[in-house]
Amino acid sequence: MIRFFDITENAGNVVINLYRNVIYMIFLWSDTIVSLLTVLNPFYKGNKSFRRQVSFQILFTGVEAFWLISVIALVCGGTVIIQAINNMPNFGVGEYFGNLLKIFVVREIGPIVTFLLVLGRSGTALTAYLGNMRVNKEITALEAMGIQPVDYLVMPTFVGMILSMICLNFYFAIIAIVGGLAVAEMIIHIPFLIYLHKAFASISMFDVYFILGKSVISGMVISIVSCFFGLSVHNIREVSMVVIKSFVVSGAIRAVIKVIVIAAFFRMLFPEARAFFG
Amino acid sequence: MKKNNRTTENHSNYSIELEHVTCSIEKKILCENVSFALAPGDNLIILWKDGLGKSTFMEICTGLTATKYQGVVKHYGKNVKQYANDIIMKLRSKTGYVFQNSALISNHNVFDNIALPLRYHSQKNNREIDQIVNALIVDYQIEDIQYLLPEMLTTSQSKIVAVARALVVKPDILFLDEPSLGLDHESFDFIVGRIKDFANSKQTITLLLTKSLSLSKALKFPIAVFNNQKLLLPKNSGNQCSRKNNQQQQT
Repeated sequence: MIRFFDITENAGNVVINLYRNVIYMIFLWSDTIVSLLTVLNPFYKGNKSFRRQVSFQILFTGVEAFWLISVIALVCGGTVIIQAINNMPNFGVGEYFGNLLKIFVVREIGPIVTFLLVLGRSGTALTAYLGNMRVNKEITALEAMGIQPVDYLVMPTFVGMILSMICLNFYFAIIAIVGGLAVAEMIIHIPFLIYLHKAFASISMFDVYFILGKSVISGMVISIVSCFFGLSVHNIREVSMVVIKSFVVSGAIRAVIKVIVIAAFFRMLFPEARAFFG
Repeated sequence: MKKNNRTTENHSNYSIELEHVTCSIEKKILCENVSFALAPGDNLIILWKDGLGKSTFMEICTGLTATKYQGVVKHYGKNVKQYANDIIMKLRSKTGYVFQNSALISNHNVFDNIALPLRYHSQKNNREIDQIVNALIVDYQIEDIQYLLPEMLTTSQSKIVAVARALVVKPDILFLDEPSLGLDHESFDFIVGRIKDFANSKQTITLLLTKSLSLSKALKFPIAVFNNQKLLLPKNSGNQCSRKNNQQQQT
């Protein structure tokens, strides 16, 4: 029989664990930043594996995911462009083609698709890898040698993931627009250069900063959450569970950050909506 | 006053001290009221049966575990729990640890595994580090496996690489957890030779936990035995370890 006390106890445990995990993740993030600043200090002579580890992470996350991102960007860009060119003139908004491409593909679809792909491909692999390292006592071995796991594993991953996300987001935007227009030209025979000019004319420096900001936040969320869950493993049975947890929690945290940022932007852009956004 | 206390506390002759350490996991007592101390020049083998918490005890001795025990573990005269994290990491940079399962980093090849502690701690540049590691690899006769990943190595090769990684930093203290487990005769003799060389080289400390009587006989270090959760220490070896332990046993 389920008692009322059990329900409240379990609910309380969930809340306490959530609170504890959030605090630990913030500590891990701050430790990582401190470690990064230490390595960037020109007088610091230790941790010579930093560049090697970052290169490895960029190779795994950025370079090896390039073809996957290219195909998806081509499909997304082609679909959006063909639909927009066919349907927008029917509603009398054909001249806003460039703006639609900018808002829909460059600002929204690109970052979210890249985030999900990198999270599914690299974030989960990273969690499983760190979990296995913990189980095989490799993390303990690092500590026994006086090597901080944050310095050696988390911080290079953090840097590599952010750099990879920035590159992949820009790849996605360029391939979605150029490749998408090329696909549209082949299928519905549009004037390629005119539409290309329209698309790039609508993109401003603000959009570049926007993609940059989203990439940095996505990279930070994936690396910190994946490393946190990977390092929290105690036995081999937990590895598969923390992989799923890290996937779900990364997505949730990014969604929360996005809502907070949207709320902040809307507060600035639409003062009359402040009552709604708090 | 505090400062004076701290300085006197740190001026201990012993590099490693355990005082009344009791360790239990899930209500099962692994060891009870264990006290011993090791000064530079001391070597100690602890004979311990399999499955009774040997690795956990070793982690307590090294200060890797701070929560699973009662009592005091001191390194260089100070309780390990009182050290700041960065200081304890620096102290560990002069410590070698050979794990029971070797614990080589799985996505690094043998060369990178051996170079790892030097690359992190050493002030030398990468070329000098590579030269040191290459010399060690030639010395340990593992040139043919230096670019292999740990998963491709045999148990004996993994152990030899683990010993090389522990000794590459020229440590002051060497902890060995079952170094002879799964070794062939040739590798056994090789590792015994390396441990003896290390013990004879300078004022170093070797603490070795094993179940192997043959390894204990081969090394000829003082032997302590774990029996019924108690540590029975050697009485006739004459080193500082035994003197302090004898005093404690008398009290």
